[in-house]
Amino acid sequence: MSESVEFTPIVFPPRVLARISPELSLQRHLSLGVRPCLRAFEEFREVETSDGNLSRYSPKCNNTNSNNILGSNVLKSGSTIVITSITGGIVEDTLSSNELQEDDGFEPKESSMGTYDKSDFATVYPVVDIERGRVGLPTDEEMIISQMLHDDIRSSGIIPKKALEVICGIRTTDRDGKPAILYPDSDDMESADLIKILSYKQTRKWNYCLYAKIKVFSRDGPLYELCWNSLMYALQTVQLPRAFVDERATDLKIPVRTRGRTATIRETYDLLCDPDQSVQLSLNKSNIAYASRCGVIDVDPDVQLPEDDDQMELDRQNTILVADLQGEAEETSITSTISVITDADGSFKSVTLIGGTSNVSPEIIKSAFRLAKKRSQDLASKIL
Amino acid sequence: MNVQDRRRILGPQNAKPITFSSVRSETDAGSSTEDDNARLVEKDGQGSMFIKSGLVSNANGSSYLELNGNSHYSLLVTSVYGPRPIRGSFTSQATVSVQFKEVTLERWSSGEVMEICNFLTNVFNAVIRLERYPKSGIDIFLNLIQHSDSKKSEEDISLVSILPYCINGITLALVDAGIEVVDMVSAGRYNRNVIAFGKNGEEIVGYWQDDNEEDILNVVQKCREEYFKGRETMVNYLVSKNSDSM
Repeated sequence: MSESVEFTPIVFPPRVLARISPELSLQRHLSLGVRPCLRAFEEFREVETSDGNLSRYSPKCNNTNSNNILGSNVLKSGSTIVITSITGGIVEDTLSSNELQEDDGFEPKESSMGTYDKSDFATVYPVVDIERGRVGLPTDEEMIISQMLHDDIRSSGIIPKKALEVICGIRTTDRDGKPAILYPDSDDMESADLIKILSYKQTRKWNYCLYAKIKVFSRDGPLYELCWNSLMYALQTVQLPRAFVDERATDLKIPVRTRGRTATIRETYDLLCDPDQSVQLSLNKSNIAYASRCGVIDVDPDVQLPEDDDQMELDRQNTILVADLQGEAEETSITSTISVITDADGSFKSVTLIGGTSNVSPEIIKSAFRLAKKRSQDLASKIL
Repeated sequence: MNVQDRRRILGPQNAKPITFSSVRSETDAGSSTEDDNARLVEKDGQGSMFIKSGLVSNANGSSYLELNGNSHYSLLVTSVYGPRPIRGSFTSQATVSVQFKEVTLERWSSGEVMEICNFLTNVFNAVIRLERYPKSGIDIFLNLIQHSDSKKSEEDISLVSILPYCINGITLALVDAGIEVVDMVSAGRYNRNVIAFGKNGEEIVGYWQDDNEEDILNVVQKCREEYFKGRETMVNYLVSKNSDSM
């Protein structure tokens, strides 16, 4: 029995290793001082952004007669492309008609800045669609991102409710049969028209609501931050069309019978939007913030490559902060993440810390915040 | 039917979509009569096609087309997933599916979209060498990012006008994915007829007819001209791309 058993080590090319053991591949990369995507630890992906000419108000738009997109953005980060288009709807506000009567005149109410009452702020209704080569219902990820965007936009106080109120005009037809649209806040208004609008306005109130459709191509890592940033850019391009009712419709009343006994008179208005005139959506500029995500990973000393002699003295970091996670290996192996929405001055809108398996020290969190602020400053400078 | 979609955030129920008044429509009147002239100008080389492939990194193959005519402007992203294993029983050849989606504006009903998808599935069933890929599925996704036509009103823009682009886009995406095809297929449109050709214009692989007023030989002739142009552009792109990468 003199047979000897030989062990031959199996060698995999890097791509195969990354596939079968992402954790090991990531650790090996980290021990070399780079990441699998070849970025440095604290390096973010470059972001390119434009409005993509999708909106009816973008300067090169050539289908203004049919386009109902009010604001848009195309964001490219690495190979990932996020296309956001914002459309609008008009919703009738039935509860606040009493409140409106107290609010005489058209001067905008003093916005209640500083006090972050959620009810003062509106949000958008996002639907995220990630291209993944499958058909069917939205995935968990899509639903979670949509819900988070919806909640975070409201809680960060970017869109004041006041900004979405419809200041309704009236379309009148003069003696020559030429239609003209009169708005209550325009300067050259005849007082008679103003009164007419005033008396009419007190009965009804409308608000715009904004829908965001977010399409993602080439998903490559966590997406929430990219979607948020794209939505942020898109919101800043939104123009709200002026809305008006037709003169003839202002005193139209239709009886509505509800449950037999109570008969109410219901006025119906056909609210139309002006194809030419629009106003910029007035966002709470000070609350505009951008998102970034960092991951924290412990370096496993067992899988470190053998060090050279001259490197022996160097005290190696054993917990690494990795900015802007990308790729399957980083996404699956880095379980501790810090997701921050902030502006350049560090007024944080949302901070999500997930403990995961790594030791997240206060120093790490501090440097993550520092990175997030820098990133936010960089992203804010990209606005067109 | 009171089925609420609980997976998407739909917004307030009583919201109405923004409708723009048609004050401006007077200026657009008479555009339909100019339509044929516009097409002729386009044929004289005014229209341009920008191609890029491999844009969608997690698909097996993809293409991006930017089509710029003198009145219309379209962006189309096509991605091909496959050949990938399918579940279920053994199949001797690949199954092809085509999905069409509008990324931004939504203007066509799902019935119309389904018809187009079926048509494209039939075309590419004939073009892809299915017998080379047993037990697999090839899924093709068309994403129309933008399609605008300054000359036409919303109702007049038909899906047929982008059908040739879909065929070009799918062909390029299939090439990018390395899926075997019988030939580079392209298509031409004449009014509301679209004909897809292969084999140097001698074989018709798909014929979409929406009006039968035209003389069929005339239609074939007109579409073939566009086919040659489209194919030439695609081949030039692929050749230049390959020579760049060498």
